[in-house]
Amino acid sequence: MELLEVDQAEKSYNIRKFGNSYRLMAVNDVSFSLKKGSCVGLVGESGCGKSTLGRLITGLEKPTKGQVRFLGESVYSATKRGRKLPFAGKIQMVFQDSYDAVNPRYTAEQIVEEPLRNLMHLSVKERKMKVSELLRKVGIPDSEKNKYAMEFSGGQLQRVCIARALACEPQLLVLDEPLSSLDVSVQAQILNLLGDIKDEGNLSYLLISHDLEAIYYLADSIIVMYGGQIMEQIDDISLFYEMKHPYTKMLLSSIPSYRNQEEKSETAESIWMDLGVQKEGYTGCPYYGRCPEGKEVCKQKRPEIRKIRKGQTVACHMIDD
Amino acid sequence: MNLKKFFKKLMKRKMTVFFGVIILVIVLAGILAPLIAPHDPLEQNLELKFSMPSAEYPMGTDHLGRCIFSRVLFATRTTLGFSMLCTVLAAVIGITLGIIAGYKGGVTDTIIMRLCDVLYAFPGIVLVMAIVGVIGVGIFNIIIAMLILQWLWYARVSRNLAASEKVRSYVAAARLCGASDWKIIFRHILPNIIPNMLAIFTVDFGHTIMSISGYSFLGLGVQAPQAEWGAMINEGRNYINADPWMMFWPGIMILLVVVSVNIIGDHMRDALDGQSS
Amino acid sequence: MENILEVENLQIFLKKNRQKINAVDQVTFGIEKGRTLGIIGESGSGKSLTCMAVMGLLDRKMWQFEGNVSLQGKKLDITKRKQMSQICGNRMALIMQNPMSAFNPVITIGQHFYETLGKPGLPKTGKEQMKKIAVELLEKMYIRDPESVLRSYAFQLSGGMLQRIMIALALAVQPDLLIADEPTTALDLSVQNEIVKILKELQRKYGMSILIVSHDLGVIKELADEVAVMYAGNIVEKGSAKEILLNPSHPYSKGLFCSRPAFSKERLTVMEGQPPVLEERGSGCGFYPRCPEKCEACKAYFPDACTVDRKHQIKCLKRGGDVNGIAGS
Repeated sequence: MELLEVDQAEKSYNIRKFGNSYRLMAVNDVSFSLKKGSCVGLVGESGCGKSTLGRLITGLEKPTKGQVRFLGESVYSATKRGRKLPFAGKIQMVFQDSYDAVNPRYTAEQIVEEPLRNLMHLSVKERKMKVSELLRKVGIPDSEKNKYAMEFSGGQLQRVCIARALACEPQLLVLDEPLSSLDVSVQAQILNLLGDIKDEGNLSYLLISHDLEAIYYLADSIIVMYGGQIMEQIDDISLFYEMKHPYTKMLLSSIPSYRNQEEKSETAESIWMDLGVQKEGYTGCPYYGRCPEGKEVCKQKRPEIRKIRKGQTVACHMIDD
Repeated sequence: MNLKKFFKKLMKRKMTVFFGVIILVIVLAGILAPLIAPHDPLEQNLELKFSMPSAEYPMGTDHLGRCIFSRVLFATRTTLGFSMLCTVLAAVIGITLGIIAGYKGGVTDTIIMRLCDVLYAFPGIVLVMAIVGVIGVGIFNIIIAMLILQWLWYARVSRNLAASEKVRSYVAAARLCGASDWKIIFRHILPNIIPNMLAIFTVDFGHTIMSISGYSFLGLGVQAPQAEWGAMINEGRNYINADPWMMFWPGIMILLVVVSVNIIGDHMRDALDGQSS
Repeated sequence: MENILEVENLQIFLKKNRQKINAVDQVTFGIEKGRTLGIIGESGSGKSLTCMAVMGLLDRKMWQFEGNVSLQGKKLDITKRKQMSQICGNRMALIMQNPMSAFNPVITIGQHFYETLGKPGLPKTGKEQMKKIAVELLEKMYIRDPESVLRSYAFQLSGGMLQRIMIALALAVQPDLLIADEPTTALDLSVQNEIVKILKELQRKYGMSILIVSHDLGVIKELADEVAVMYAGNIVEKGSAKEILLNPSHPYSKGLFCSRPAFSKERLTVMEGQPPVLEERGSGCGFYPRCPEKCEACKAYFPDACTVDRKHQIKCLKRGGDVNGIAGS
């Protein structure tokens, strides 16, 4: 059985802005699955719905349509009482801004202790031992466990957050831009830590990021999102450079790497104001407005996502099978 | 926000400490009134009425020859006690409803907040007068009448704070850690909005003292012969020419307490602003 | 060639509880006309502070300065607000990190332009004329339909668009020097790329100098002719972009450049620890606690800059740095 199945999930919000209200399709008909022990990278620009998708998967938000199943069961339970999440502890999340993701009045120990206290029946002594063990695992020395959240640096606090996420032996870890608020040298430390944890156990990752290099480093397969929809998906990251969708190609060409010496094209593209592709009722390809290969058919009809070869699916009219 | 840090910062300003000490002394004097007071506050001695301050009567005597000093001390208990009761009740009701509205959102939020809006439309004094007119005069009736409007402020502020705390990712993290709604409210949201609420509470306490004294002055609250600052001013009103001391002492007490409380409240707000930036 | 901007031994102190904390220490650099200097550094390295100080934007109640800053050979008094604001308006312009918060939300983009164009010191122009200039500027930034952009408010536009508008605003006064403080950090990858291209093109067309501050090595590589690496308030390494990016010499630069995964799955080599907190800096090398090549002397002494190769300068005891005759071993 797949660990996680997202089945035609859709999330829309009502936007009311000075009289003109519309429905924003933050996530629009997204389906994919995640195998146990694998790591899926989710790439996209800000506002493409990747963070919303992350929240749908953890069960923090309820999809407007469709299903998200974890080990065959819906992650958003029907049981209303106290609104406890059915897979609390088993699906965990690491957030972008670690200072926002912890209660500022808690010490590191209390932060990591919280899931243990809520979900595991341990004696106080066992709990303290487990907390120390977790903190050691992420590289926080015992002497610092009584420091308050605000006294840590961003990287250290992100480590504490990772320790909290690991506390109840989760099976799926959703990493929502875990690096983007950190310094370059600290990013590397966290990436290494995440890599080590992944190698250690049967943990699966969903890595949400706009940083293609980090995704390449950690992920086994990759999903590219644009305008709330999946544009392209490959199962094997080694096919990275063979991704076909015009949007993906544009992303690949815009990676500013200081290592490659080739010269890039120097003329800038023009952009326009309309960002209405996520409004309900828009039927064309969301990328049409920016696509250099866009044709009339792209404007009229939304491309279906289809398999072009084993392990690679694309949503584009312009790509032949 | 950390409560310990908050107080540490607060104590850095000398003014705050100074007025804090004043409040502390007055409250202690009220608590220890039976030990300090030289006379029974109700003991009449008509022969000595309107006497000037002396060693035996430090603040002189009133129109019935009662010791003003003792009465002021005992009045501290009534005025501050009832004000505290009223403010605490308002705060508890307001914060509870506010957090529920802010955290639940949706219909619950709309109902509670619209109720607030409706109640805000009533002028405070008129409403209290009307209620007291129906259920009768007396300090407890006054407190009930005041509560109807007093919780609004707490509800509104705590609702907004709770709503803004709710969307922060640590609440999401707590839910993923298996916390129920109640646990999130009590362990996470409430402790984080307490310092803000404390600042409001302090200022509101000053207002309540003024109101309780005011209604007693009008004869609606604490009834004679029980000592209360507002009521004492009212008693002194008739003899303002003959013996201004009768109004002076309770008046100065109200002034001192309200000014101190307001300044401390202001400083609390400053400390909060500094911490958030 | 003549240097447009010359910064000499700039020191910035933070005043806190009657103490002076050294936030930026002995920073020296120059920018030639039509060239770009890139400053690389992590948060807290003092790179933004240096920019703000050069623009005269730091509050004198909190900060104290020493050292010289001169623009086109003329010395600037960066503590004088009035004088600085005139110079900033006309000869230096700043692009900030977050375009979303740099605009006033209650006035239209057009009004931002009119305000800038109507500043004292610029040739007086009528409203129609100003509008024409604004439209032209926006067109240069490849913004489609500039007329309607001028009528809209900041919150109606996307981050990439706003950053372009901010550059257009900065160009309105035709500055000699453009200071860009993390101009791409808050933006998406594809938009970042566009902004970099635009900056490059502008420089070619108008021959202005750019001081760009970033932690993104890719952006620096694309834009900069010369690079300075900052750590803990010091420029630890400085030289031509090619040399530094391909052949870094200071252990910090080396570590920094290895920290990015370059489309490989190999384990990253990392620098342990965090950059030092402002209050906890000692007298020695700021990188000492994290340095893989440290020696005892590094703890106590911080060397002056020493020249490795023509323009390539480095501050490291282990690389021939010298303090008062104590040579590194």
